[in-house]
Amino acid sequence: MGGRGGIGEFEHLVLLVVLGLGDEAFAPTVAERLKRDANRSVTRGALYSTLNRLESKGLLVWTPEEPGEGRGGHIRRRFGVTEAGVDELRERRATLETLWSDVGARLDGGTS
Amino acid sequence: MSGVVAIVDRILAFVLPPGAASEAIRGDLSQEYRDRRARGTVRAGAWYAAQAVSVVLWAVSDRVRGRTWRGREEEPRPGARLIEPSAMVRDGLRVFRRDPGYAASVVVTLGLALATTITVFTAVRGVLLHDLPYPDGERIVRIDRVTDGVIGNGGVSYPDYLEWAAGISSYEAMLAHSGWEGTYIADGVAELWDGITITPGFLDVFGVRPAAGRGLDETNAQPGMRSIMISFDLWQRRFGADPSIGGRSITIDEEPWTIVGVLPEGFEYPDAHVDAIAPLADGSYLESRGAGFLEVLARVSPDATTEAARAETDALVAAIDAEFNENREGVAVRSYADTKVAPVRRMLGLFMLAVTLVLVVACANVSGLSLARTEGRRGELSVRRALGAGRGRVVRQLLAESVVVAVVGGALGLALSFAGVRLLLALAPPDLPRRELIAIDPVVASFALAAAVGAGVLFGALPALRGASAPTTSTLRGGRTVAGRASRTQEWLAGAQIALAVVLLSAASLLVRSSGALDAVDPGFDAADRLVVEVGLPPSRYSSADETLGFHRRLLEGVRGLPGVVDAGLSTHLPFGRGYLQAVMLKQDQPFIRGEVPVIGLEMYSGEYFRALGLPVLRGRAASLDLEQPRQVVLNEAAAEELFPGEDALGRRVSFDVEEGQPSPDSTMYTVVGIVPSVRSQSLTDDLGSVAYYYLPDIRRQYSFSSGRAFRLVVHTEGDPLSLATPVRELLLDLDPALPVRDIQTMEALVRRTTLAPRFRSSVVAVFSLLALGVAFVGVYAVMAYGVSRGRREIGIRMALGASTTGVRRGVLTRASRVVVLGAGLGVGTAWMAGPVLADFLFETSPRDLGSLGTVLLVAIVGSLVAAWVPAARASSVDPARVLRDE
Repeated sequence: MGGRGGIGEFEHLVLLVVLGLGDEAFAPTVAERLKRDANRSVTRGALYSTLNRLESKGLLVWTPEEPGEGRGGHIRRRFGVTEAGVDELRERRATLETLWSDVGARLDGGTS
Repeated sequence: MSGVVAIVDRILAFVLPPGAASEAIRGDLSQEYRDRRARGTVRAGAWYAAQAVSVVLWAVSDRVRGRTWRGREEEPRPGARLIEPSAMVRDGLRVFRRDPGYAASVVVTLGLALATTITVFTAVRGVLLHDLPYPDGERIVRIDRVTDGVIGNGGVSYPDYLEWAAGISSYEAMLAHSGWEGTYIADGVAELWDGITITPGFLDVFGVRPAAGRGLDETNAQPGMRSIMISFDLWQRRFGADPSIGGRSITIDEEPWTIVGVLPEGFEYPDAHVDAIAPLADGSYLESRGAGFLEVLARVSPDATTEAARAETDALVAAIDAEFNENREGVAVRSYADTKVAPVRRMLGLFMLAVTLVLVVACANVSGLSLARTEGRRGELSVRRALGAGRGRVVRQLLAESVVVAVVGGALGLALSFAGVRLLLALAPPDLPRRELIAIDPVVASFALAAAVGAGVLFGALPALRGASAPTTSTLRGGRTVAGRASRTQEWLAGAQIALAVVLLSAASLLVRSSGALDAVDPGFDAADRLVVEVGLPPSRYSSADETLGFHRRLLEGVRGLPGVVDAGLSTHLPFGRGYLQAVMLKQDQPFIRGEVPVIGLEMYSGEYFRALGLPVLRGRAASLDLEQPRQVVLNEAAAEELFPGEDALGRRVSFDVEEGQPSPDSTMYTVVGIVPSVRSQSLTDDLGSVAYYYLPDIRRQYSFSSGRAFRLVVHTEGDPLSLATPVRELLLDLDPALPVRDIQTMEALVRRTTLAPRFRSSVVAVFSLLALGVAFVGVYAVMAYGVSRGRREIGIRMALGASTTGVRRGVLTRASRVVVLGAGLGVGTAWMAGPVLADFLFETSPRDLGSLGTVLLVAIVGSLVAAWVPAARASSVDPARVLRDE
């Protein structure tokens, strides 16, 4: 999937969440959204590792922002999905939709 | 930012690669910590530490796999700090190969200390840091009356509750409950239940749904409805988890009741033992504002804060009190979670303090060892410096070694703490709240790792800085300029260990002494060779006085006929048992004015009760069915003194049947016929309470209030009381096969139960203090042994010049005693100053007990000098010729 060594299931979720959050895609918000919408409690270590990995695969970028309150003066990183990242998501959705169209009726209808 | 968080942040700054990405990560964690602090500083701190550990672990693991955390657009600045975690780990592991003795000492010492820390942290996490098992449990508050400045002293009245529930908009749900004891019979098996009666809709306060059936509602609360909910455990145990249980009929106290639903799993209000919950029963007592017997809980609604709810509650209560309740002191609104664990919070705080001391002693100890080892490697380190390794690089290498060894120690500690937790739970008093949550889990494991890393940095810092600050040229030339300084630092460290161990040992000795003082308290009655049994009589079958008294008589006759029984009696309440009852008491012709009349404990007894408890009748006689003079009462000395100070109570008349402003009618007066010694009624720390003893066959002619109440049988036996447990149980079931019988135990066990918590506290702290002391003794031994091995040449020369072996030995011991006396003195001084911290835990023991402190001082000094004796003896056996030849 994609020419960049592919992405795993969790990376897929993180990409989707970052894309969905738009201008609000900071690491703590991403963690919160993963918990709320995907019911995934993630340690911050695993989250930062994933964000870095997606960045080095060229699917994510970040821009530094002014530090807000309570951050000890440290900058914030606003994440954004790159064109390549959006392509990757499109490709994944297409694959999933193809696969789902085969089994969807069976699951919904409950017939054997 | 709190202290610990600031330290962890510094560690992150050190470990993560420099750059904007790392900076942003530290900022994120600080920000999230700050946001979480609103829900409790300790929990937020634990979360922060666990996340920081995860960040470090992932950074290291990514680094090992060749992934960078630096971000692609940033190039490393020239001269930037480079971290090579894998290389550091490799360096660290090398210690085990090169210096296995040193590594093993550090691992064992730190492992033992960390095991205690992890064990206590596990308990703290289980009891204090877990959420309540209800959604948004932090929004549940408890509302208590304040009386005489004491929160919860006197409950809430039903009229008050109704107005609060209707009038405070900050709460979305509120409940009030009262205790209830029922006898339940199914399939011929009888059980005594612990239940509560509660206001309908109580499940909304907890935000939970029934596991089966439905909850109690207003219709269930109508008079005569007899509806209950049963506990999840009872549902599983007695009804095979039948999903269609709703609507099923069962018999309680021989009357038909309907089970409407099952409480959800893990529901533990008011505690984990609750078997059944029924609607608050109707009755005139509900209408009185003066009858405060309810416990009130409420859920703060999502659009209000606890502070707003508190302010609104205070305002309404003040308005109600101004109108109806004079002399009331308002209410306290507290977090329900906090009130549940409040009794053990201080104890766990004490343990946490103790294990921190143990850990610091252990760190000081291994720091001394590490310092000695660094001195031994001075040559190697100087070569590295001379070859161009920067100071920072050497510090990092030495620190990495310490941290790696400490982490291995932490792994040992974690392994040992599995046994530690089991031991702690075995020793802990059975009423320790939330004990089922005390278990080692990933958060505890993260804590263990963080504590180990912290310990590694703590003990490794000094040796690392020392090792890197070598005056390189002189060392390379073989000079010894720094040896003296190093051993002086080690002596300081050994002195500090002794000082801290002495502080801990002093605390332990005070607690043990206090526990001993508690054991020595005379309960006022004879607890040895007594068997006690709790029996519940179903009120419907034993409703009349004849039926109850007939049963009592048959039972007492039967028990007295058993072989090995000396005496037997029964009472509605036994000292140290359940069923404690109190009432106001009036003298003849005394009008009743609330607050001006003494409150006296009431017991109703039968059979040879006083003899069975070993209580001599001091004056007069025990009550009897004396038709010449009916209505008799026996007072204990405290009651006689309280009611008739300085007068003779015998022959005087008293009544507990009172009406506001009036003297009691003559027909309710009972005549004092005997005086017995006072006993402690609830625990050994109680004062000797005032009690009036009524003779059941006598009082039952007039009052029926004891019908249906459980009673307690006490049997004085020859030899082991438990050998009579089975015969007594068989006798009871023989008399009535449907009787619920529970809690057959010895009187001694009943008394001992109240001393379990103090005994637990003192034994845990004692174990920790002995560990600290042992480590400190090893520390003294090590520093002296090191001094002797470094000073062999000097000793050899002195001996060659004619110094005696005694003189050499005395020299070593003098040096040791300087360290030890200073450390122990400092420790005792600290203990003397800090003693009052323990005051709340002590019973009839001064927090500055000179005897205890003196003993501790002696033990510490003698023990340390024994530890120093071995190196001293080795010093005196140095062979001067050989030493000089080796040089």
